[in-house]
Amino acid sequence: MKTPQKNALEWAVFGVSLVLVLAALGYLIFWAVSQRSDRPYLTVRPGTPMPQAGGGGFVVPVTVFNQGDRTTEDVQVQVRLVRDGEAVETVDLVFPLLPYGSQREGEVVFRQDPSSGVIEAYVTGYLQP
Amino acid sequence: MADQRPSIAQSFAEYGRGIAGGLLFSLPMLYTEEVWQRGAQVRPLPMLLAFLFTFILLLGYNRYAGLRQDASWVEVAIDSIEELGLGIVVAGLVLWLIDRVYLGMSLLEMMNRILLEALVVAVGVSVGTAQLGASQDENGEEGQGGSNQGIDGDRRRGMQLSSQVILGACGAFLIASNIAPTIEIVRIGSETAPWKLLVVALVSMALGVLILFFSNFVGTEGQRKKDKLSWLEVVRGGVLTYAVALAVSAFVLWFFGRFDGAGTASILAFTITAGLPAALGASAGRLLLQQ
Repeated sequence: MKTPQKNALEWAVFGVSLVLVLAALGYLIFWAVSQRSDRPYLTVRPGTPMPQAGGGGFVVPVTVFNQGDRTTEDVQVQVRLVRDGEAVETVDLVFPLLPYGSQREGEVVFRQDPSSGVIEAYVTGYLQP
Repeated sequence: MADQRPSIAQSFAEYGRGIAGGLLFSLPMLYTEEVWQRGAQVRPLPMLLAFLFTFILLLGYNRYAGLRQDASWVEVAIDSIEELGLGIVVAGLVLWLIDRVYLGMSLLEMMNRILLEALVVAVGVSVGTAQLGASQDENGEEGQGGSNQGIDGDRRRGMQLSSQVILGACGAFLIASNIAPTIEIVRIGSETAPWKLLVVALVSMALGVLILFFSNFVGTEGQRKKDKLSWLEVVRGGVLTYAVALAVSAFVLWFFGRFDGAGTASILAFTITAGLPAALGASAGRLLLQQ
């Protein structure tokens, strides 16, 4: 078998390519065998409220996480401001796409000062494409 | 030992052609939302299959239409790996440039998004390397001829069927990958009257025959005698090309999840819809060998 005629640049490109291709293949195989469930696993976490710039409301950052093995679409999140065990204000938020292993960020705006109560956030529904 | 290695400048030119070809054939796909999204939805098994499918296409293309006609399988494999590597780098850079991959997105999503695009870029790189540089043949380097010059007639006939299928599949893959992921295929396929879809299928086949006939016609001036071109051959070529185009568009549509939950009639309609551009790509791919 004859050795391919290559200069240093070509060997370098081949070396880098080989590493990239093997890494990609290894990653795909690892991903294929490490799949456990075929379910999404969604959690949502509200952040620290801050006054809305130029408005009278209060902005609350919201982060949703999908730690499962399945992508979800149209993830609906409900954020409530609860005072004395009662929801005094409710805002809904939709995340169009939340892939597996990903997080997405959004913000909701309350009219009342959230420091007067507790902020709760829930995932209320989603599509499984 | 005689040093047959190309100079660094020649290698740069070759990679430049490859990258240009890769971008030329895959930029529409790099700019398509459905493709980015699919990176987040695809399952491991289809991804592995697509990887394998692309690698086989690359091996076949480099064997039958690559720069070095006398290449051994080792060289063909080396070329294919280089093209995949270049595909990954180019896809990653473009996606980063247009902000479709960024630090902070999940590794899985980032890898899938890049790999998905890289497969088509890689096929574009191989076509670009072999085809865009045809005018440099006059330099007279050994084994560096253009697409066809090293093949004599007998060898050509011997490998005709497999090479035609591979080259047709490469052309169909390049074009179909850019069009099949879009939602328009679903809209056209589900909203067009069945008799019109039948016409689309016939037109696709006719286009293939037209291109192949035309390419044979051009080819006759150089290497073939005119009376060798029989109508049976042309029809056979057209049907074969369309079959390859349909198979490739069905694979790409399936990969992009267009068959999920679709009935048989819809599957057929989508495949025929994507089959028109795929047939153009397939016959153009074969034209590259037959010119």
